[in-house]
Amino acid sequence: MISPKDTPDAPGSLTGTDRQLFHLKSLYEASSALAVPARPADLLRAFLPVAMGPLGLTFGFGILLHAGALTIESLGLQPPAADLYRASGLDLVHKFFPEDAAPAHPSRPVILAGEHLSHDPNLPMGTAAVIALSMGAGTHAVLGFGPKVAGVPLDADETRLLDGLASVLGHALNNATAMECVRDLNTSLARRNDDLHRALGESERAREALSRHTLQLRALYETTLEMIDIHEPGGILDAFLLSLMGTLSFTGGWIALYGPGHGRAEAVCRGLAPCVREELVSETGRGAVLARFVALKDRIPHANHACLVDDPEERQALPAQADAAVLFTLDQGWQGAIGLSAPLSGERDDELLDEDARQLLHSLVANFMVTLGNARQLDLIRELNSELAARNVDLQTTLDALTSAKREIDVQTKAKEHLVALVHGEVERVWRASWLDICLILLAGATLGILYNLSSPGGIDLVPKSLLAPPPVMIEAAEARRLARDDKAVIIDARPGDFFLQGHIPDAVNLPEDLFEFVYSMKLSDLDPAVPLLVYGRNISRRYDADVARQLELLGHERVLLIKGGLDAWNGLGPEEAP
Amino acid sequence: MTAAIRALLTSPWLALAFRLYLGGLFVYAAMYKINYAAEFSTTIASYRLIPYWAVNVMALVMPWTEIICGAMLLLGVRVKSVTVIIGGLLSVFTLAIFINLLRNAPISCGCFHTLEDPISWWTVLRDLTWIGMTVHVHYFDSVLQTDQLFLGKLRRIHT
Repeated sequence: MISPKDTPDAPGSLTGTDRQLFHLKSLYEASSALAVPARPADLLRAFLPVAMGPLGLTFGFGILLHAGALTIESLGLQPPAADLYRASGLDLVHKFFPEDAAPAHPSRPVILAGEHLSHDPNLPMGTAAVIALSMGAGTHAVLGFGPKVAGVPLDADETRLLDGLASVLGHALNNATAMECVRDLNTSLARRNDDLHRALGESERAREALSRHTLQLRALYETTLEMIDIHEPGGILDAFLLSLMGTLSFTGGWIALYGPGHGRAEAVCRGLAPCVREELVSETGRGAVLARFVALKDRIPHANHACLVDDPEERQALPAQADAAVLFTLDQGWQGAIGLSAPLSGERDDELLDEDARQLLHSLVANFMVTLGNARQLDLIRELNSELAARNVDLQTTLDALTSAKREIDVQTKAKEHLVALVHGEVERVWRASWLDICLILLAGATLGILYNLSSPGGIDLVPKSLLAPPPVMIEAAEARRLARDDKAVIIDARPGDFFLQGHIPDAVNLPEDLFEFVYSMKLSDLDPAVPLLVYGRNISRRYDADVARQLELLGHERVLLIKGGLDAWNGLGPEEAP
Repeated sequence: MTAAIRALLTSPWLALAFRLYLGGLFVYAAMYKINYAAEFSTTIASYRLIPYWAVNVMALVMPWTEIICGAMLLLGVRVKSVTVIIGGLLSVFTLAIFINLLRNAPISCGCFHTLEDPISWWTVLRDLTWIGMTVHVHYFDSVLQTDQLFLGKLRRIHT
């Protein structure tokens, strides 16, 4: 740093060229002093003596607002005045650079100089010049300088020098701000690099975990896929053991499953001696496995759960070799054990299975138990269905028998009702007048009468002879009267005597059929056979005239005639006239 | 008094007496007619109500019907149906006598024998009495019936 005192001549006595040289040197020194990389606050602190020295100023102060932080530096000011700007410096900056103004770009410094500044209440007493600098992006600076020691105001050259110094400060502040930004960016970048490294590590670990989980899930999926189509518990045991050995890299293994009763045991083994299976299904094997459950005490797996056997002594007590073993419990009293032996890695220590393998084993066994439980449920359902089908057949048979019996009962009931109705009707018919009974009685009477008549010597003709005999010769009543008068014909009344007595043709001879022989012998036996015989007497019920006429003809009478109309026709002719 | 008379008139025992009387009467009446069918045929013809071609058949059937009905009355078999037949026969007889009384026909009844007194209004009254007995038997007879003896228990069967 140079000062006017260091120069051979006083400033007031310097020539123009010397002053310019002095000012250039001052600018050079200021540029050199501010060229070092420093923080803006340090630059401000370094700038004040560099600017005040060449000009011979009594005091100076600077207020820097950078990244929201306010820096106050002063030189030559009394402490109270310096403290004043620590409190109101921000207002002074905002007076030159309002908060609501648009972000300013870096610009040349603005210098205010004059007598009026010395009385500005916002500035220290005697302030001769104020410089406002804007570096853009929220970095502003306000510089104030007191009067010269010589008490004279700043001339134009000095003002230009001050402007140049302010420009140097502006550039330095810009550079410092940029450097600070670069530093911040570097710091941020380093921090981010660290974060990125950490994230990369975590990502790698997550990828590895994901791979393991994917492997486990694939193993679970493939195991499930193998067992899903198997419905026989034995097949599931075999398929699961094979899958488990492949997944966990064991060359041998076995699974034993024991039911609630003796003799209910199933076992499969692979990569072991054939006698292992017999050992597992034997009562000894059953007792050895179930004893492990007892040894677990309160850790006995409950239904559909499993637990790994970590204790090597417990594994040794199992009925077959097991470098890794699992005890599991199904529902309905089924329990079992899984043993894996001879790992491909050849290791035989207690930590054979890491945490992932143990978790995978747990998941596989859990899946196995679900599948096995489903298979057993399916078996149970099949058995129930078979039993139900058998019962349905029995029920159908019973139903058919009941239906048949019901039909038979219905038929018998109808027959009974019919019989009862028939009996009841027949019995009731006894106590009432029945057309059937009446007809039967009349039919019986007719039958007996006809049969008796046919068998009796004194039987009568069912059909009257007069109905079947040739029709007799009939004459009119008038002709009969003429024959009786002219030919001395004999009139015969064939009716019973009582009717004859009631009325008859005059001179008629009563000759009833029942007294025929007697009356004929008494009255007509001497009669000439040629004499006409005029017979009458018939009604709706009997033809007396025809019957008697037939007997007379049998006795030889040649002219037997029947009077048509009988007594009524004769009487209808009226009284006979005298000849 | 009235109840006693009613009880007497509706007594099954009185009906039994009428039934036995009528049964014996018809058996007795039929015996002669069966043995002398020709005479009975003449008697039927004397009533002048039956066509001449049916007289002989009736003379054969009627006595046997009477003797069957009489026997069934005596035994107590199908009493109601028998009383219907007997009532019908007595009604026919009464109607025939009544008609011939109006005709003033000089005939006998012919109920028991061929030779009997001529029919009269007393004959009608007698037949009406027998019809009354038949009606009584039809409605009130219920004791000492062979049907009751053999079929009485079956009557208690209900459908």
